[in-house]
Amino acid sequence: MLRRVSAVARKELLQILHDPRALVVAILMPPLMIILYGYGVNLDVRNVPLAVYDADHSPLSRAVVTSFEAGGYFRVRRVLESPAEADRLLEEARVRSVLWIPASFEADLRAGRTPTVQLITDGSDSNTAILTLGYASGIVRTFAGRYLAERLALSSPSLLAPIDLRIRYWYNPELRSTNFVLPGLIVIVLMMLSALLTSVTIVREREQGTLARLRLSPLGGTELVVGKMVPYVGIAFAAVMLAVLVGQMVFRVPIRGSPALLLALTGLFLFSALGTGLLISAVTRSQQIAIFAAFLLTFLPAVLLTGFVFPVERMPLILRVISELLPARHYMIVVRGIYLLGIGLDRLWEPVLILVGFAIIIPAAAGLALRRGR
Amino acid sequence: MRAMLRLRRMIRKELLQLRRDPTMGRIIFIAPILQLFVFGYAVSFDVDNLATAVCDLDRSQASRQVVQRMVGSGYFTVVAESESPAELDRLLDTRKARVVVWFPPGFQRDLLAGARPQLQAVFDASDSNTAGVGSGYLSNVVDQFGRQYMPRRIARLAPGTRALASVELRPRIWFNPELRSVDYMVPGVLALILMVVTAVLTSLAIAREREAGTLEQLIVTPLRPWELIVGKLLPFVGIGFVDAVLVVLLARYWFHVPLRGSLFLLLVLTIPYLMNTLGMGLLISTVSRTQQQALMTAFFFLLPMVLLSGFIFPIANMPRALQVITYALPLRYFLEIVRGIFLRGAGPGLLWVQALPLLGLGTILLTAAVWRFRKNLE
Repeated sequence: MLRRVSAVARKELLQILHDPRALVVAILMPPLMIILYGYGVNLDVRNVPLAVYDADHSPLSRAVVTSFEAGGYFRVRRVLESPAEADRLLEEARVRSVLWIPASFEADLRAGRTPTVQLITDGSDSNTAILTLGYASGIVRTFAGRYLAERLALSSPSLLAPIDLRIRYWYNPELRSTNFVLPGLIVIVLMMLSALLTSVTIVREREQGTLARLRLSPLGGTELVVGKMVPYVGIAFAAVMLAVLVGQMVFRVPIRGSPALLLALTGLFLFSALGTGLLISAVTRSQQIAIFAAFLLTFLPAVLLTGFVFPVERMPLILRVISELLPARHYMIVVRGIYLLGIGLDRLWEPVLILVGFAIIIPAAAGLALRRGR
Repeated sequence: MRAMLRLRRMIRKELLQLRRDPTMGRIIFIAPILQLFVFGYAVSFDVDNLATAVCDLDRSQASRQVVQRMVGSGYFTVVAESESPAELDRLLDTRKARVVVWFPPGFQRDLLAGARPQLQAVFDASDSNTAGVGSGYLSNVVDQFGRQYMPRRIARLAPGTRALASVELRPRIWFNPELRSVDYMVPGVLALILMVVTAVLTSLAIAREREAGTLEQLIVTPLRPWELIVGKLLPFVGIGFVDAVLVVLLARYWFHVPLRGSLFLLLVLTIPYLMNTLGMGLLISTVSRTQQQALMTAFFFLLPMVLLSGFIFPIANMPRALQVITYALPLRYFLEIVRGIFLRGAGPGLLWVQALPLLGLGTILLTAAVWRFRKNLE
């Protein structure tokens, strides 16, 4: 049996080497994608273009503007003379927010009447808008605290708050979005690579008519599937190692847990990922459809439904159910757990068990589909 | 006249081929709908019902009120209450809870005395976006709750001071007042689907003929190269428009995305965009010998393009060097057009800034593609 598996593997390897361009693409794509996506997938909102309409022109209103500029969250692009300009700037998307300070701002504040400043925000990109509003309310809160502290001659403005709220961020204390994105990227890249690599292998043989010949041979479905998988495990492993190394060198995301465990569980995941590609290949009739299906069934769900950047917990039930059926979702938990949380098998056994299940079921299903010769 | 006849026959052949392949037909219409639904519902950064564990060592009215206000805000859901540090630790590690709030003993007593009790919150920040947004919401809740105790605090700090004013921020949100991420994502999917359907399918259709050897057969027919190209591309233009109308209808009537601008303008500006995507498809087909190569090449170029276009991740957040690259991406301009028409109701007066580069890029791409394709044929 082992001999037959290795024969299939050798044949598959030869076929891979026949198309060196695909091989080079397969090996180089992951590190390239990691670099590009590592820089491109950034959720930290900074330098929001801001227009200011300051009707008060007082020292205090100017101080508000200065505190908006200070944190790096906003950048003042325009100072408006009339409020009418604000509409035009927002419609033309030249600025994303307009800060509007009313005429009696300083007088009100000094007299003990709470003045209102307005922030008009372009809400079309809802996430950016939510973050922008969060920053703005923080800035205004700090400003008010500082003003009051000065009036009361306190040493620190935070002393004034009735509650001393202390927020700590575990696992990623600087709230660096790269720390969140990079481990997730490894999952995506691996999932996509595996599916693209294997999704055509069987259907190509079917199109060329060599599958019928293989089926006449004494090979069983499982042997065929395992044999076809082996060379790709090697390629995928090489690609993922390269990707992790490049990612580490460029982005320096700390691996808090055990790298050995990460590698071992990556190997485990590869069986489900490559198996998915083979399963697609076994049940489709043309290469074109196989690759398209691989794309629709692996890449899109991997990006959208694995919790890569979009939280699964808050999706509609049907999407949450689909998400649980994706091996990549559980591998994502494992990768983030080891990378960021630094946890081991004692806390990861749940997703790991599920991954073991997938690693058996998916290749077995591919073998079955192959033997039934649909 | 003869040319028109040949062209018509070529197009009929293409349509026949598409119809013969029932799976392909399904992909053309089901894929867009599927993408629309998945993107529409899954791509959301909205933070609500954040799983919260409460460690209340005070068990007072004040601590309960804070928790009630957190839940009442809709942003937090209490999933566990525990006083054991090990258990709280486990809840965070196993992702059962995303935030732990901790009230020390004497929280209410200190609050009433104006003595500024501590309130600790630990966020699981592995998801930095959720943690950042969530902590903003928590600060707001605590700030509002604390306001009623401000006089006591001031009385303790500076006895005899009269009431002091604060500053209020009143947000006004334009274009998408409910801040629905669906309104932002769904119009974007239109651009994405058009690209996938036209660019990927064109490159595949041509690569398939090349693989099957039928491309050479077509060359020896009296068909001129330009007729061949137009005949190959036109059916996909048609499919693209049908898909575009389908997506707009679903966006409007299923997802209730407002269409504030003109649908006609949107369809007109789709033409320069299709010049780009078809040009890309044709170009990809000239550098690929097999369908697999064509698809790999397509994904290799199209995926980064989607990522850098601002479809999900704002271009403004990217490093300078990447931002410069985005000016060469047709998708970037078309996304701004689609979102502008849908959400802002933008007209030609605002959109020509995007339409011109789109047309320019499209002309370059299509010319280069046709030139290469013809050279390949000879």
